[in-house]
Amino acid sequence: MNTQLAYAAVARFLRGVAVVFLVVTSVFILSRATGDPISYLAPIETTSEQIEEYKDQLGLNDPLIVQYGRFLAETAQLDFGTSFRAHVPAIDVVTERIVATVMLGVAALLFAFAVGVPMGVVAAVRRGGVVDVIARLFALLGQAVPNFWLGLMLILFLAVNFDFFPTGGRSGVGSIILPAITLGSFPAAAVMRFTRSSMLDTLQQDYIRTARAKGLRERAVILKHALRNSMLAVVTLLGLQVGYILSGSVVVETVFAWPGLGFLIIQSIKAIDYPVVQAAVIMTSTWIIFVNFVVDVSYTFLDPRIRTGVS
Amino acid sequence: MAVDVPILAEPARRRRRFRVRSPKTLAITLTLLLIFVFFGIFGPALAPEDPYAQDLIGRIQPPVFDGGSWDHPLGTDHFGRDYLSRLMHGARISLLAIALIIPLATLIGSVLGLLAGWFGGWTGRTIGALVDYQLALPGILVAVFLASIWGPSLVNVVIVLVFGLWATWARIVRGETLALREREFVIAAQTIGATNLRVMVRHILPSLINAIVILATLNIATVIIAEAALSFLGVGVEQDTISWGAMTAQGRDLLRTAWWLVTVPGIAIISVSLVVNLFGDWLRDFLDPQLRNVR
Repeated sequence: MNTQLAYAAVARFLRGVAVVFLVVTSVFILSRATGDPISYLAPIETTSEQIEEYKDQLGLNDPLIVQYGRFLAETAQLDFGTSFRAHVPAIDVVTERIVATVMLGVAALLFAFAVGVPMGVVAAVRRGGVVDVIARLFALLGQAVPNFWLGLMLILFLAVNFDFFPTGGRSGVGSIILPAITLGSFPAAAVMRFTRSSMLDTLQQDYIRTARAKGLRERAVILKHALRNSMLAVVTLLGLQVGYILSGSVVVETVFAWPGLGFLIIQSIKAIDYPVVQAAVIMTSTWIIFVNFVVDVSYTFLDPRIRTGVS
Repeated sequence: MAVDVPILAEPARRRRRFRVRSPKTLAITLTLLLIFVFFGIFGPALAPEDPYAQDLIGRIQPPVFDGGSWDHPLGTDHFGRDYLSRLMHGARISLLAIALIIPLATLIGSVLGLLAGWFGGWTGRTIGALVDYQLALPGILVAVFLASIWGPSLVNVVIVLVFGLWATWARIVRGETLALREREFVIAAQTIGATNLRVMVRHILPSLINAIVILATLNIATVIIAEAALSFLGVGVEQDTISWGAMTAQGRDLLRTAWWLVTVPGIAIISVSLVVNLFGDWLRDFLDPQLRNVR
């Protein structure tokens, strides 16, 4: 059984590596398709000989397969070249912004779980009650309200009236609240739906009846017996939400001028700063792949019932 | 597979609020849907004014319910263009995006899901890796890349969203195919010598058609919102195309002075998405209640 598990984990890991490879390859293809950066960057009076010289220096005249091999080798060493804009290694520009995005992402997920889990639990326990009705409305709206619009409405109604929330940028504690709510509300609706249905499922189990029969207080039955077992399913959701958070942050960071990876990507594309875009895209994707891998494997270890399902 | 989350079915008995339950509410939902489709097709012909006609004297006029006049029921933007006319034109790009993206994503996702579920083995694993790949490369990044190659265009939006959505069908169809593969009627078909293609198309596909149609309906709102988000970021449709997302982006700088420029297109997006989702939920309950929680 254990060797089977280990085999499955290794296979899953190898597939993750294969996907990273695919992503790196597509970034290479896409960035070469974008045209060569020299024509954008060189001053207008540059002669064609000079351009050829630059191209030789940067290796852009080599056969594509050679360029590709070099690209792979450099990527493995996290060497993405020098940022055209900042004139420092691209990877440094990216790592500098990671903190801001991680902060925003964690804040958004905290918001999602802080709102989603209690709401889902109460909605499941008091089915058809007021909270359940609000939860359903929330779930419905969560799939219909675009996050950029929600962000702008929060700015319109809160930031404009209360100085505590700045309309953008990263300054003080108040500045993270509105972006985090904007980014976290879609995951919050998902966490709520998942918690609710998972709780409803768990509350039907025999051991819940047993817990009640042995005279446990309802509070203990729900929090200790039902919720703990329900959370397992909710944890899986986390892996999928990390992907959403990272792509959603592009929009939300742009709305709030939050100095993270997403905002950096949009800025760098506009400034044709390819090394930075490549570094950011590859780092972001690798991160998502890694999180998915960890979630998959940990889920298999956490829940013995689905171990047999590993193929 | 990263997405093999066990589907937790909700108990069958439950309160169903915010759902289409009676024929009357269904009729209302369908009517609202038809109105959207109608404006998507005929909006440009019906719009009271040319949505590109500028009127610099009459710019930033509020809508009629905020002290404006009936000349411009939804006010005007910073170029004095009639906002109602622009909104009606904007419906077209949403409808066009749906009409192009949903069929393509449905086709690609269903075929790959069917192949992965039926053949399993290396085929299944390769398609599984493609799903992982799609999940790992955020569509928005692809959109940004494509926009920097060709400039923003509807074609980019179609490529990005088809790429971002096909896996939804692939996952569900693969799972259902895996289950159907063991059923007697499928085994019987194989026993009498039916080819793989014949079994897949004539025996498995008919059992999946409901699920595929339901997924298509439930993903319409996703397309509307994603197209708006891409256009909002400037990596969606062409710069001068009227889209609800682009309208929001253009109104953004005037958020304090002209609230309707951002609010109105947003409400349009939300209304259409809500109605489509209500219809999708109804369709799912009607055709195949087992599919609850597929998203």
